[in-house]
This record gives sequence, C-alpha cells and structure tokens, in this order.
Amino acid sequence: MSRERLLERIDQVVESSARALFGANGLTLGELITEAGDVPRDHDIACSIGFTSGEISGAVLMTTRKEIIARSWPAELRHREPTERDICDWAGELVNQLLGRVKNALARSGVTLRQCTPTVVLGWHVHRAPACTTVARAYAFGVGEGLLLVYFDAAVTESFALPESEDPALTSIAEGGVQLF
Amino acid sequence: MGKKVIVIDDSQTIREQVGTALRQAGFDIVEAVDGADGYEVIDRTPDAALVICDVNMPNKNGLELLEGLRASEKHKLLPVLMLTTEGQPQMIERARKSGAKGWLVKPFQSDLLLAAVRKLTS
Repeated sequence: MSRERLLERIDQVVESSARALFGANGLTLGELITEAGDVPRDHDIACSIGFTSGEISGAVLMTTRKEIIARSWPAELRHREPTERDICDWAGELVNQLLGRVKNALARSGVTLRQCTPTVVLGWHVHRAPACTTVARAYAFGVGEGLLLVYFDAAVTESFALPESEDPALTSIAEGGVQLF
Repeated sequence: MGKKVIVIDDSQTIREQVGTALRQAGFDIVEAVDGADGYEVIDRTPDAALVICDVNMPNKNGLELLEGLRASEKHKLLPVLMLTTEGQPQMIERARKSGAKGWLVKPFQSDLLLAAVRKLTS
C-alpha cells in the first residue's frame, strides 16, 4: 500500500468518525479548512488518548474552546449548564468516543487497537507542538466562528497497511447499537 | 422504591446521562467511578438488579470486573450490561463468555438503553 493511499484511508476514517461523533451530539462540523493558517490563539482545552497495536501506535488529540465542547453537551443533561469540571470530563469522553469510532472502523480492516484512558488539559493558547511521528495528520473543522482541531499522530511499521476491502466477519456492533446475549 | 441499577463508568457525564435516563423511568441509581470502586459498591449493594459497566477504566477495567463477579459465589448471578466505545467482536465474545448479558456501544440512545435495562431486570 502506498504511503499516499494509507494517509488517504486514515483521513477518511478520522474525518468521518469526528463528523459522526459530533453529529450524534447535536453539533454539525463544518467543512475541513485546508488553507495553512496560524494556530488558533483562542483554544483553551485539549484532550488526548493513546492507542497501540503491533504495527501502529500513537494518539488522537483534539484542541478547541471549552464553549464548543459545551455545545455538544448531551441532550439528556441540557436542563443545566455544564460546569468547567463537566466540560473537562465530557471532553475526555468525546476523545474516548472518537478513538472508539476510529478503532471500530479500523477493526473492520483487521487492525485491532488497544487504548488507554483520556487526558484533558486546560490552558491559554493551547496548541500541539510539531509532531515527529511517521504519520502526523491534522484536521481543522469549522464550528460556527471557532475551530475544532483533531490530530492523529502515529508511528507505523513499514509493512503496515489498511486493506481496501473490509472483512464482513470483523464487523462489530455499530455505535449506538445494542446486543443482548 | 425502584429497582436498583449500579452504573460504573470513569466519566461523570456518562454516569449522569445514564442515571438521568433511568431515574426518569423509575430506577434507583448507584454510581461507581472505576472497576475497583465498582466491585466495592456491588459488594455493599446486595439488592442491585443490574450492573451497567464501561470497559476501559482505570484501576480495574470492566472485563476484569465482570470476570471477578463471575468467579464470586456471591455475585455470579448478578446481570451485567456492558456500555462502552468498544465494538470489536473478540472483546464482545470475551464478555459474552464471561457471562455478560448484553453489550451497548456508546453513544447510547436512551430508549434503547431503557429497553435493554427493562428486559434484563424483568
């Protein structure tokens, strides 16, 4: 598999996972902003979660404004305003669910990732330092007047590939689905 | 008093989200923050009708907790519903073989969660 095709597949998985996740929480992500620009100076929260397997390991990171995380606060809890602590907890859960979607998509291509628990950071002008991993992808989604930045950074072995066709036997329960035994 | 459901998740938001959905349907909710805490809460809640448990948690993960419950004379019959971002068939199969009663992939829809909980507690 060519490097270009691998990156294209990763981009498809991460972008569609992010759109589906925020869409399920009532927040429509705008088109990807591709032109190079300055790192946003108004980001005040970052959340990250690591993953590993035999051939790929790395982390998913999101940075944005707390106000944007608050806009995706679960519908069941909108009878009250989330506190800063709630927003941090929810940001951690969002990046956990984002990686969950990426994992489930990659599982259909035979890649099994293990994950850790999320970490959330608050600050001012929160931004990612330049990555030095073999795969370092960034996705800038417009959200109203702000931005949601998603990063997928990973080290991969030379032989790592994502098969073009998915194996139906590896299909898992879809997000939101339930199976009783 | 409603039937008692123990909700184990390291996210306060998820515990509150699940709790809100089930309280509105008349269930009583007891919370725990991870697998180790979950085991202690289960131990001191003998009248629990169901456990809803995340998989990826610090201290003790949900599958380890499930396997611990099944190995315990006291808790081996307590029904457990897994609620997680994990959807990999191998993991679901491990939970099924360990005696889990169901698997729900986040983000959950309240009506589906409630239907599953009602079925497992009936």
